[in-house]
Amino acid sequence: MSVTPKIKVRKLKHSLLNKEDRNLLLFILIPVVIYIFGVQGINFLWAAILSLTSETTIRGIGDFIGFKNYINLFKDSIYQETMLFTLIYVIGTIIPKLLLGLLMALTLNKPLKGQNIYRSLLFLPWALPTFTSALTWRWMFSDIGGVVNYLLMKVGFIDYPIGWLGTITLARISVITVNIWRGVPFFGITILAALQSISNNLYEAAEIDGATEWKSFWYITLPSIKSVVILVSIVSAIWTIGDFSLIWLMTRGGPINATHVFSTYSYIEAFHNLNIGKGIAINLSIVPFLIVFITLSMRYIFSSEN
Amino acid sequence: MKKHMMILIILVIIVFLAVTSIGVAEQGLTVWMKKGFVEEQNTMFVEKVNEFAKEKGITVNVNMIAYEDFFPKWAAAIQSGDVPDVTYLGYEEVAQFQGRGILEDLTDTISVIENKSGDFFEKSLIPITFKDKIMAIPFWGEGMVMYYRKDYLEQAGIATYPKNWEEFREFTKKMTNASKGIYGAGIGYGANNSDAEWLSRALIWSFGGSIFDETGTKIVFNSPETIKAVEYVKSIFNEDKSTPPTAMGWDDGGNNTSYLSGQAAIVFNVGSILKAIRAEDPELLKVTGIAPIPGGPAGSFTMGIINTLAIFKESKNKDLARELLVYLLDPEWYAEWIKASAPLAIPVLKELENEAVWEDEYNKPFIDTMKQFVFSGYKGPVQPASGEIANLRLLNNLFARVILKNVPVEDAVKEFTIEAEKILNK
Repeated sequence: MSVTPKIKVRKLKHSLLNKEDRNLLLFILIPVVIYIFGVQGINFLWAAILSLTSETTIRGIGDFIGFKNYINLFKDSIYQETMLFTLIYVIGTIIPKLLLGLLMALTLNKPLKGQNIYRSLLFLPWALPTFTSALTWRWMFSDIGGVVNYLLMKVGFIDYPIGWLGTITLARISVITVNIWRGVPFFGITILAALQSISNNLYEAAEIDGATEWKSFWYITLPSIKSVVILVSIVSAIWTIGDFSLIWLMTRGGPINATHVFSTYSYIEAFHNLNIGKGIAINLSIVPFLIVFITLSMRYIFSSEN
Repeated sequence: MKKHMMILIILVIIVFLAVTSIGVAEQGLTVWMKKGFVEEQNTMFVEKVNEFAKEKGITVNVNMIAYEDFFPKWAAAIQSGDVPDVTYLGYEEVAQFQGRGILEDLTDTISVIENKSGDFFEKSLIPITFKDKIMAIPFWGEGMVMYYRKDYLEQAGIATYPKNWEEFREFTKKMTNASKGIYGAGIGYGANNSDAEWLSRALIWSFGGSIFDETGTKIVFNSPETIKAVEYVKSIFNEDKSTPPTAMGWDDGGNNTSYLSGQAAIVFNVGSILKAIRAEDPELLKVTGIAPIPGGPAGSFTMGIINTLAIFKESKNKDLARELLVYLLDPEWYAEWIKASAPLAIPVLKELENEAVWEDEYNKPFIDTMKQFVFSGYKGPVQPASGEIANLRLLNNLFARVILKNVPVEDAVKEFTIEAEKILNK
């Protein structure tokens, strides 16, 4: 039973592709393969080799030290703190982005006057360059002339300006807030596209059967958009794990390493402290986790589809 | 025909990729210079280098780079071997890099310059001389001073600026009015903040503490004097609350912004603030005073900052690079460049000490700091370890841990000592 479908697929492939088409396929694939292996693959391999060398080198290949850089990472308190904050950062941003994005999509899916304008405006945070967003928010959070402190003082919530980027907890909350603000539109637009592909017949049938709005949402809407939601969450999680610009521009990973994610800590170690091996090891240390995460997620998605 | 056409197209793509990936070797010089706060000093420098290139009939590529952006560029250049011919280096970087044997010995070039342009200040050569070899050319110095708001002192009923750290603490507490957004002590400890790193050293030294002993072979940071200095700073932040709310997240521009906006009553910085006040806020200049950094039980110190130009051993145009360095220290042009940059840049050539620009009441404290210059290896000589400790911002981390995480001062000092010893013993 399990063998036959594969053979059928193979036969189908052969019948679709003639010699010219196969050549065209190769013609298109070869440059891509050259790029992936030649540019990215070699760089990845070189980086992996450097991560196995001594941390004091600043040129060429230093002494081979095996996995010492990786082992030492787990004893490094800043690395531990970076791991913890990255986890907080990912979970603390994905869930709100998902909920707010879903809300945004459900709202924009309704027939509204000026719908297109709302969509454009709501999409703006994601469309703005990270540089612009980060510096604008940094100004907004500033204790000198920052609008957040101004408004809070105006309504009487605080008596004097707060250092939003100056203490550990507040700095973490601030960067998480900005990440959510930037990321909600991506969730919103993607989920909206999924919502719009759901057939209205399903809702009409449910209405005829006496289903409430909530039941329609729970039994029709959510299952229909489940795959898209999972996929967009995975993509966003990967982007968030690799975030650099937002953190660097707002806090440089401070105060006192409290808002470091892997990329910013790696940057500091490799380029400021000239510990190239350690810097690369920091970034490569999350690759196994990412591979497992992506594999399990994809497997879940495809099994759900089946 | 179709098959041959496809093969031809593939070959063309491969050849194109190969050719465009090969860098065409540039003729002439590549110069990396620190982008100064003053636009005129940057423009003058680029023009001077271009003049040199024209006279020599060569091409030159001058990159003006923000200090913070230098580190990844140096790392990449050193790793790849594709180094600039002439590069800016702070003296800590000179110490670090010469320790790894990648800088050219410029002792001879110093002699050539001194024959042509007069002697260098001895203090400008001390931090870049290792075993009698001078590993860079000093180009300008920077002195840290205390800026204070005369009007805030007056409003608080204080007659004059603080001359020692006890007065500093007392006065800044009196001047702080958080509801008006005014804070007496404009001190911050953000990641990579070099102002904080230099001020902390000057403060610890004035309390009698130091990182190194006189020989530079031992870390003596863990001492009652150091602990007292750290506790003093902690109390300004956590007890007195005399510092601005975001001070722990400040970069090098943080104290500038704080003073220029009227938030901080006293800050410590080099000449950048004065330059900005003169250009943008003449009213603020009228209420600004400039004085030396307060002293402590062991005296008053200024962490010396010597900015240099150096040549990597792997430079492909070393002779031309040396000629450029001599050219840049042409006394007439250099005097004009210093005048345009003052007081942010202090001259390294002795004969410029008495130029009219330094007679100005606001500029004079800056050139006076040269006499108090002490360098990162104090109480010993500058060395690779002192440069590395400074560049790793270990002191910033120490204060941040003590202030933000409430790590006991003794523990934080012990941890610093252990880290410093690891670096010294590398």
